[in-house]
Amino acid sequence: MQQHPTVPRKWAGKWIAWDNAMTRVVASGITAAEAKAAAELVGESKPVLDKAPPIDVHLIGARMR
Amino acid sequence: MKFPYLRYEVVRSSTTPEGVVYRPRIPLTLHGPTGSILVAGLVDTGADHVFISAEIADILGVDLEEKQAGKAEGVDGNLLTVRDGEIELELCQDGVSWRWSAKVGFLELSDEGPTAVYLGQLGFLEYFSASFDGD
Repeated sequence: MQQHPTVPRKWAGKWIAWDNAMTRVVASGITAAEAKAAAELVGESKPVLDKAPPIDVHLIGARMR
Repeated sequence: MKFPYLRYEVVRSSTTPEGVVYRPRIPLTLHGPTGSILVAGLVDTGADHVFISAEIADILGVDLEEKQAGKAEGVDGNLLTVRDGEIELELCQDGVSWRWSAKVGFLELSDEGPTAVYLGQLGFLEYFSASFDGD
């Protein structure tokens, strides 16, 4: 199983766009739409969008009321 | 299907001495009335539902204006406003694809957390047998 590269801190808190195979991050943006558009500009028509959490945040779960 | 964990650089601390955390985020496609988007969603066994950022609702063409608001609560006790919507989710790997409809909760922008897509029990985990290997 192919491992993906570590998301570096420079993208923490931003939306990032991976290439379709998730081998590298090709673009970023403040919003999802911005990251998607930036990825398309560099030729990635099917990016995988991801929101990179801030580097000082640890994630927890949620429940519906 | 097998997916690798995604790794994120974080502040080094006593609990994260290597400065990296592993998160079970997997690629899947969300299909809405007028748009689709490929996202990395967090597989979250602590979430009762699938929760998605309202920002993504715009891309999918889901109109949240007329949706009734509900509440979700994080383990820290904070109440979040969510609006229900129905979309389709699709998992693909190595030429194999599963696609299904699901009711999901869209998180209001003001309540957005550090993750945009939480793949919880209803709408996601209920359809799969999942195991995790953090090694």
